[in-house]
Amino acid sequence: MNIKAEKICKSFNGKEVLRSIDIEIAESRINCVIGPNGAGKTTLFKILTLLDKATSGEVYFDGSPSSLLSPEEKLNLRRRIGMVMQNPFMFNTSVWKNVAYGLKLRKDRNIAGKVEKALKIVELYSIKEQSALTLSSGEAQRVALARAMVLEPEILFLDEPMANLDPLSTKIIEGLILKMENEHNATIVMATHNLLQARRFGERVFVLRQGEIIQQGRAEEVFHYPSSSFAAEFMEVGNLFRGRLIIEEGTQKLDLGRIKVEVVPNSEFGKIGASVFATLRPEDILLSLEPFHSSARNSFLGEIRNMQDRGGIIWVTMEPIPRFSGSKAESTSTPFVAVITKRSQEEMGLKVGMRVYFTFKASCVNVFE
Amino acid sequence: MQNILNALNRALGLIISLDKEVFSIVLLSFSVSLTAVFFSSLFSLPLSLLLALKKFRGSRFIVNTINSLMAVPAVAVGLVIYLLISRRGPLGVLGLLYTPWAMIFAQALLATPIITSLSLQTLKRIGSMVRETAVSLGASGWQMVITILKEAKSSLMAAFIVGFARVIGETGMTMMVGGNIKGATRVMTTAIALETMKGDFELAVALGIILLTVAFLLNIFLQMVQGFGQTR
Repeated sequence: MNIKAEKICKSFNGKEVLRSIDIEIAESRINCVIGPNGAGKTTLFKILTLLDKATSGEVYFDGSPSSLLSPEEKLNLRRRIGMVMQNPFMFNTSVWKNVAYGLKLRKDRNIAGKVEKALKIVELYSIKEQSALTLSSGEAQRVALARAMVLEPEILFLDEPMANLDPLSTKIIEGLILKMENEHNATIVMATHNLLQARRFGERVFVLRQGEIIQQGRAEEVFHYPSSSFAAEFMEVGNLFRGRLIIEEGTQKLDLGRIKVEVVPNSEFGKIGASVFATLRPEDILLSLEPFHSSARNSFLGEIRNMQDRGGIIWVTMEPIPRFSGSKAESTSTPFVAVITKRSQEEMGLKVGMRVYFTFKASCVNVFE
Repeated sequence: MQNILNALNRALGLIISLDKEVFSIVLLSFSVSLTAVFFSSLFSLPLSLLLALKKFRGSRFIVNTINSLMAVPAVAVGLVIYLLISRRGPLGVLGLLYTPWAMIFAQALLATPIITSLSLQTLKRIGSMVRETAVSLGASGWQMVITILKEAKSSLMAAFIVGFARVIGETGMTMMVGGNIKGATRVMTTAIALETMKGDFELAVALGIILLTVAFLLNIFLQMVQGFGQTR
């Protein structure tokens, strides 16, 4: 099924949430709508799935405008589209009956078989009799996915399917999304604020910011030429840098201004002098009070600027101190974020304003253009 | 003191022996109030569903009106009903005054703002979530409404119980429109009021015990129902 929208606008009580959105969903592909929270992703999804009406503009399904459809035609159309909300609502009944809900509405003949299969895929068959209200958020998300998937929709909308999930649930859901696309040739539309996820899954990417699509295209294109504001929005990823690839002392490095970070040479991104992006996972950074010798190629002295307790895990923000003071680059700020356990923080006596060494392997720096 | 103990003693005797008069009064009380809640819910449920799910001009005004109507004293409702159904009133030809139907009518009117307001609170809280989920899974309009009612059932049950408790304990209004006619429109509250004034405490105490027990059981039931609902 082809879904296309033209000039979609939506306002709530005079506040514009979507501004003149033009979007065409790529069929049999994974489409990613990325943007920070509050960009309008959920509102856009509700309009594209006919759960809500646009203030102005038109949504076309296989070329026919949705505003001209009769209620029966709309119902039939809706039954070909699946949607999983960000915080899915669980019906106050068992896991099994939650998944069977849509099939019952359709008076399906093989409810038991289909529900069993779907629950086994999301690895929840063992708790099929449990009340759906007692599930963890990861389990609820899996039930919601099974509940939508069991209806075999031609197109499936997933609103932040992996936000705040446990690793197991994330793994299951990721696998499932790929499987649906590969084996069932389904069209997937996924909203996420996670850049890396979009990069991994997205074949077609739409960047939504404050109700407008500021960039769209094939994933490679979008990640090839991101606008600076686009990059800034995803600082939450942990460490996202923009720098220049250089060769120094015979090794390939990324010049971040204050410091130069050694990276693994990669012929694909090997254009020396090119401006590139790099990500570094906070958990890949090692903190120490003394410099130490190791195989890790990058070790810098930094000053702790901020420490944030996120449930037993401390996020430490550090500003690197350049080795040669007086360089013109000193003014540019390139904070690094590392995560440590509360116990490490206590044992090392880390405080804001202290200086620490931070070390990471060149291979942990993920460079992309 | 001896007086009270005697009354209590004989009252218990009446209850235990399933006295015919006590039994018929209790039965009428229940059937009048249950019927009133039933008719009230026929109106309250669709109205609260409509108000929770649709935004239309004047919906806010209706909600505010319903909330204010909760505070209207029962005697005022009784007076209005009396004027409507008295022989010279606009509905006088129906001959409803001093019949159980008059009490049902008045009690239903009294219960409606309470039941509507309480149902509306629940339906507003979960209504849009259930609707979106149901519709996204392919529910038609009716299937969606049934799903919402199912999801809200324990809270709706609580609203009915509160409404029922309010009307079964109502005295003045019921007396005004029902007339407290022995064997016809005499219910627990009106009987207690009359017998007490007559100084005939035996029946009053017996009915009082039953009424208190009903109130007590309803409260326990209400807390149980709300307990089930609280998992959400």
